Amino acid sequence: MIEVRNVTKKFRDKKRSVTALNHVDFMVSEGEVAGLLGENGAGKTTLLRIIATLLQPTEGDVHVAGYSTIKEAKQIKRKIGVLFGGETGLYDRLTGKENLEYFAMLYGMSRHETKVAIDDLAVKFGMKDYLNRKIGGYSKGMRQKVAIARTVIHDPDIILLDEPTTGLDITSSNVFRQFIHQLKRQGKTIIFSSHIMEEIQMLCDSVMMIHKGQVVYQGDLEQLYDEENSKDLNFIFMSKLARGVSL
Amino acid sequence: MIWKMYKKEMTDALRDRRTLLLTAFLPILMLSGLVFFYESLLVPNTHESYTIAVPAALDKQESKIFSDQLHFTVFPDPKEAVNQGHAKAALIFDGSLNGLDHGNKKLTATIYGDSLSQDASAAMTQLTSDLERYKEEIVAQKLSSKDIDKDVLNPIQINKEELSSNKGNAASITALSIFLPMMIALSIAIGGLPAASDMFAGEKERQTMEALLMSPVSRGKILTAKWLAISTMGVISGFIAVAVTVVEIMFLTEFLKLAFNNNDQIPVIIGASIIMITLFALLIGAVLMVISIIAKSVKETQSYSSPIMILPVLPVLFLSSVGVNELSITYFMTPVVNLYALIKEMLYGIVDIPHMLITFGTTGLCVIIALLLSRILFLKDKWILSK
Ligand SMILES: Nc1ncnc2c1ncn2[C@@H]1O[C@H](COP(=O)(O)OP(=O)(O)OP(=O)(O)O)[C@@H](O)[C@H]1O
Ligand SMILES: [Mg+2]
Repeated sequence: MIEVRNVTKKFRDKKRSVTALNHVDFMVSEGEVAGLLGENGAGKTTLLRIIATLLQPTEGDVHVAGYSTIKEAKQIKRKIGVLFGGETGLYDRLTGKENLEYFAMLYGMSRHETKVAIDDLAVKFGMKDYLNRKIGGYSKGMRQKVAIARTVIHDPDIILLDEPTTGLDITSSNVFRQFIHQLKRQGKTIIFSSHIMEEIQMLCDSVMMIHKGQVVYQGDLEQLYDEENSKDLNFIFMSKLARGVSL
Repeated sequence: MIWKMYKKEMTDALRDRRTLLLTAFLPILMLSGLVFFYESLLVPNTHESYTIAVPAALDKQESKIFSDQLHFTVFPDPKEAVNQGHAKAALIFDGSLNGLDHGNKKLTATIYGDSLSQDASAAMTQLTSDLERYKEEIVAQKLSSKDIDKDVLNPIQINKEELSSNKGNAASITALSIFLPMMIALSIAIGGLPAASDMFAGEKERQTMEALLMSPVSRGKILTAKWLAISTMGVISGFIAVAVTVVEIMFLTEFLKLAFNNNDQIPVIIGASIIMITLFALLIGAVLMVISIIAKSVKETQSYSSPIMILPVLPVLFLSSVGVNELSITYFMTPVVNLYALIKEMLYGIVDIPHMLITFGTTGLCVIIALLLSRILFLKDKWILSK
């Protein structure tokens, strides 16, 4: 369960103040897969970072699994797995296995737990062949798989993914989507941001649209289709922006 | 936990070929060059011979006055010959040297040359001293022919005595007391820099920092593990530099190696050097860490650290001319400068425990300050999250 209450985030750099999030309110319940939709600079990464306890809100508060992100960050960190987009957040000079072992160690996993988790993930993602090679020589798809494996190595209840399929080919994207399905079946709570409407349509129960730091829509996908009389998320998004509607 | 994180950082750093190249190869190359440079400064100029331009050939008796090192060659315009670089110096008389024996009272000898050039000034000094000696001979001859003792011209005999600690190897020790600490400081900085820039700015760039901060490990532990790894790279580099320097000096030099003669404090010196190198590596490690936290990229870290690379060399400017007996407590209380001061003292065979403790103490204090600063910065998201 993730509750974001009236969150505002301002960045101040060189006298200029940027409001990345403007009174954002939303909720994701347990076992729900929520999509975060928005243009470049809308505030998606900032929102995910605040939920992940990496940033503190300027105003408002966030609770994850009943813990406050400000006061109980440590408890939240154990329950949460995060993958931020762009670079994949792996160490090039270490092998895939060493990367996974390192993060498992950071989460305080025992040697046995680590081995079981890595073997399991290696099979799941078909990484067995290259897990002992250094990340530096991996293709983008291989890296992304290891990165996702790293995100879930400690079996978190809540998973935040920031544009996880950016730069992946169709096969890799499909592997990823299947993985999300699987996680969903296990009852994990997932938020992932994306530019790709189809992906959100395919995977998410609910959607949240943000534009320039403000929530444009938050709620059930099916309900949205009914309201807008359309199943084209792209179209819905654009028309909502055009009308300047906020919930 | 810190130990395991440290091990990972070390593996990562040691697998970086650029790091290895910088930490081992570059300092070795640099210090080998310096060893031979300082050695060449110490080699006395004995076998050199110099060409001296003269307007007319010297006769047999005249050339007897001068040392064999000087070769006289006739040029129609001796000064021009020197200007053109055909001779190191020119010697011009307004008469004949032999004439002085035969009643001539006075002769002017002009020595022309570039006293700023090492060779030319050596040639000019040789000419001058040969002429001085000849002058004294003639004066003595003339005085004795008039029954006057030649000492009337030298009523005061001046004796210069060297500082007791300046033995025969003083020049070698002086050279080494500049060169050794400079090498230690530089190689520590060179060794620590790639690791430091990679572990903060690099992790920001590659966004591994976010993943790292998402783990439940406290930031203090992350910082400590990284700091120790950076410092270890500095220590390794520093020790390699010292070891290679000492080996090269012992086996490849003739004069620099004299610095190690007559020193009966070797075990204490080795012990103090190990402490000093370690403390200094911890200090430079913490400072580089602060820079890397502030910088946005590896490149930025490297440009911000250029002053840090110059800092260890600065004390050379105002310490090389200070005698070992003039090293006051202020020198040992000034960070970086105290590294030079302590090594100089130890090379002279002096073991001054208070000086050592002050040096270790002030360096340790700076380590703590730099570490606290890095901690304050590392706890601020502004410095550690990429946009
Ligand atoms: N650390 C920071 N300092 C200053 N401004 C920031 C910082 N992080 C984000 N911003 C600003 O906040 C706004 C929202 O950025 P954010 O990265 O959250 O957008 P986004 O939706 O993730 O965009 P993208 O699709 O490009 O990833 C942008 O205007 C950005 O410039
Ligand atoms: Mg983003």
